[in-house]
Amino acid sequence: MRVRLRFTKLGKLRFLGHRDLARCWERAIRKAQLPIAYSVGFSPRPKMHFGLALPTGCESQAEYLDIDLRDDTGVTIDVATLGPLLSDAMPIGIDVTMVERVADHEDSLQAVVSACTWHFEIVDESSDTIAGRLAAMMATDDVQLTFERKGKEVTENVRPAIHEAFVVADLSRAVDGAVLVSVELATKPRSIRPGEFLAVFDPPMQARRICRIEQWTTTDGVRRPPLVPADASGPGDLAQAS
Amino acid sequence: MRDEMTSLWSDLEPLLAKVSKPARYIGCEDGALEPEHGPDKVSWLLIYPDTYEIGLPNQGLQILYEILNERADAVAERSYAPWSDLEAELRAVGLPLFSVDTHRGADEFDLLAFNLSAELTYTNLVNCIDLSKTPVRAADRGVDHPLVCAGGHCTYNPEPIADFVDFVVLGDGEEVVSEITEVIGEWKRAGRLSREAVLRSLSHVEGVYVPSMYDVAYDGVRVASITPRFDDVPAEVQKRTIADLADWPYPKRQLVPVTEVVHDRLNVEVFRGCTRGCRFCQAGMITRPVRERPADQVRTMVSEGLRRTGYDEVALTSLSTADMSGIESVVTDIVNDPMNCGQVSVSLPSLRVDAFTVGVAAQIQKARRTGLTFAPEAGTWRMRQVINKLIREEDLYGAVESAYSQGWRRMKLYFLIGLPTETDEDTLGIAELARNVIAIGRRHHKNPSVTVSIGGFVPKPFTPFQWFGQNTAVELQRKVNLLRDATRRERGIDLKWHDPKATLVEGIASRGDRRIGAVIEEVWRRGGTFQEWSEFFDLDLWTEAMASNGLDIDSYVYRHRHEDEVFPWEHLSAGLHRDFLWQDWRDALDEVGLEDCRWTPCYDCGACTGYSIEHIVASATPPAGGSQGTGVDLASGGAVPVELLARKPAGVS
Repeated sequence: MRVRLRFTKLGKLRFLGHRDLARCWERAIRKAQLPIAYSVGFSPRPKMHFGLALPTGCESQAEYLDIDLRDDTGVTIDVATLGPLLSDAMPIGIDVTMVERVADHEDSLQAVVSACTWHFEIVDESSDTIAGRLAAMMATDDVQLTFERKGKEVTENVRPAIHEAFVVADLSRAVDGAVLVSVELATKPRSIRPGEFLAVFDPPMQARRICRIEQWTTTDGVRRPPLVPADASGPGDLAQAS
Repeated sequence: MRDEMTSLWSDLEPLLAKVSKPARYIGCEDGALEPEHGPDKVSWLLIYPDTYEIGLPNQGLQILYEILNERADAVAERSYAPWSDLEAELRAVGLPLFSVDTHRGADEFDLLAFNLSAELTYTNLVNCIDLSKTPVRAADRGVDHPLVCAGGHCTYNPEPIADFVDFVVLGDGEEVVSEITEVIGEWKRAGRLSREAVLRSLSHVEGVYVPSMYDVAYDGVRVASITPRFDDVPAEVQKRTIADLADWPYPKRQLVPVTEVVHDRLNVEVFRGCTRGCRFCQAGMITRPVRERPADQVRTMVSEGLRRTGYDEVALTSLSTADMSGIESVVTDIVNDPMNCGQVSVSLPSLRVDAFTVGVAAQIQKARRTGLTFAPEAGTWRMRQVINKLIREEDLYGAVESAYSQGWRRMKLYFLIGLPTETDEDTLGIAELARNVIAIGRRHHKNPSVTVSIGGFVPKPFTPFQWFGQNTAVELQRKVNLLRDATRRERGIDLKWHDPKATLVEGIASRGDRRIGAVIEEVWRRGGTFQEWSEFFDLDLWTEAMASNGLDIDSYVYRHRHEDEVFPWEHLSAGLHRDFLWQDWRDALDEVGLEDCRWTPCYDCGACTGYSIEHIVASATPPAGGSQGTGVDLASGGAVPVELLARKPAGVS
């Protein structure tokens, strides 16, 4: 069976790269003694399917991972227990906040996610200035940006990939404050990365923290995250990490 | 007082966003501790002076980390050399070296304790002291600066770094770290009065050497004498040896890093010490006697370690793991433990060269039979008798035949060049062995391959070869070229070699005296850090620093030492009698081998008798097939039956 996990990546762990994180998951699954399925071949690998890689240095409230567990071990797996079990086995900063069983041949996370919401903590500018710059950018149809894809420099209009951008809160009066900005960026058909979004502005905005807040899929015109809490009393209960 | 320690994390965060591989600076390992500091605790910062990826797995550091943190009167954190990009960022904003556990500044600790495993890290040692906002020379430090100390194999000749450290420790650290903690705790309670006072007290701790308590006199290039400056300071410093490894089941909670490091697996030390008696091998000389861990303790440490860490690989570490009593049953039990789900692989670093060993390897490497590594070390039987690595060609060919016939395709062979009495025939014997190995491989596979790794020999203190003048870099390069020409047209042979220029610098430090300190400092001042890394290694920095300090490479590296020469480490002792080493050196020149004293009568090298300790081995008989130096006929070795089980991976769906 396939289960989908939603987890956080916060704090010092934001500096951990995607490949290293995958290795942490492999060890955590072995530590939790989950009957994970392995690929067949010369060098069998545990069957884990990751969503879109989080850029190293960014935090996240909304990472997703699918893992395939064996059905033939005779062990009944209580999905509700997996969250705390795996949170304990992962480093501090990674908490599994939701676990649901999904269809065995559910479309991969990489295929279904089309946009992500990001929170930026913008520094060195006032809330009004930032709001003005965001509004001006959103008011145009053409935002040319030069960036790198697959080792090549590309210049194109990235405006269609920026779905929304607005100031959430002005934290600048707090000690060590900043302005919190929420941005939704497409991941397909054309994508733009959070670091590239900052470079859309001239001069570029400076963020001291970037956090992925949610990922979005759209199926039959319905927009929803890859995991939605089911009826709180029903099966496939939301497994809240401790 | 220094009880107000604070985390530098918020200052480091913006820097980490700018540097390569930032995960190596965050800590967060499974097993890491966030110890609570306090004025009544002695705080140790354990530093490996190379990158996190190289240093984190170091077992010595991890053992001491646990032992110190178990004490109520001590805390220990860890640090590693920052890569050049982070170093530049730290220096630009004036931040010090920091611990990865709680991200405290290194200057806040009572002790900076370095592990020194390689001479080429000496400039990193100096750099880390400087990054700790501490004067690099011990003589310039005040009472509020940390005490700088070092342990590890390199401290058997600490003279090149004597100016930079306050003290060094010889031998096993398990017991002595506690004794040091107590001395320093006492000093702190008394108000940290003078640095000299605490160093004087430390010099009374067995295994602790305080360089500033000794005067060195020179006679030209040679050392004339090394004498303690005070009556209560020992004239000879003895190494420390723990009597029984079973009393020290550490690390109990091996650190599991979140980012990839070398040797990224569970490591369980199965024995310490080695009495094979390879004459080039410093580790085998200074770690005597052999102390085996009881097999049951090994099994427990493996199964508990795998369960706790989630690793799927365990290495049974030692200087020659196939020599452990009952190694076969230990590895079989690990492989067959149902808790391990059949997915655990066992690795045996430092394989002995014989068919028995390959049999054991076959048992545990059921999947992924990619490559096996052997270290015959020299190309001819004559040369191997000189170095006392008594592998006969039949041993090697038997091992290789066994390996190729059981599915391995790639062999890796390690050799040394520049050994005493070596002729071109010996050097070219390496190519001959490699050719024969390939020929055996062709009987089993279409495209067998053998990687031949060549290292230049550096004579080390406390070995029979400590009198030998190292080959020049030019001579080593000529020998590399001989081998390159001899193997160029051989399909399947891949020749790799260690840069003879780096070997030369290792030679400067290996047997250098205190005058080399100025050279190390100059190389460091001119930016010569990370000298172990080929992209940073710069021979010119070293030769220029030697010249500007009026020291010549011939005397330090290439010169044969006199029988009665006072070595720079003459006042230190690894337990080995000097006359034993000299006799072994004479035997080497006479091409006489010496059998392993674990299973044969004692040669009185001094290591056991001097400290009233003994070998601890579970079996009084040598292992099957282990002909080398055991006096056992090889004929039984190749015949060890190896049952090949079909692989049954769990969870194939």
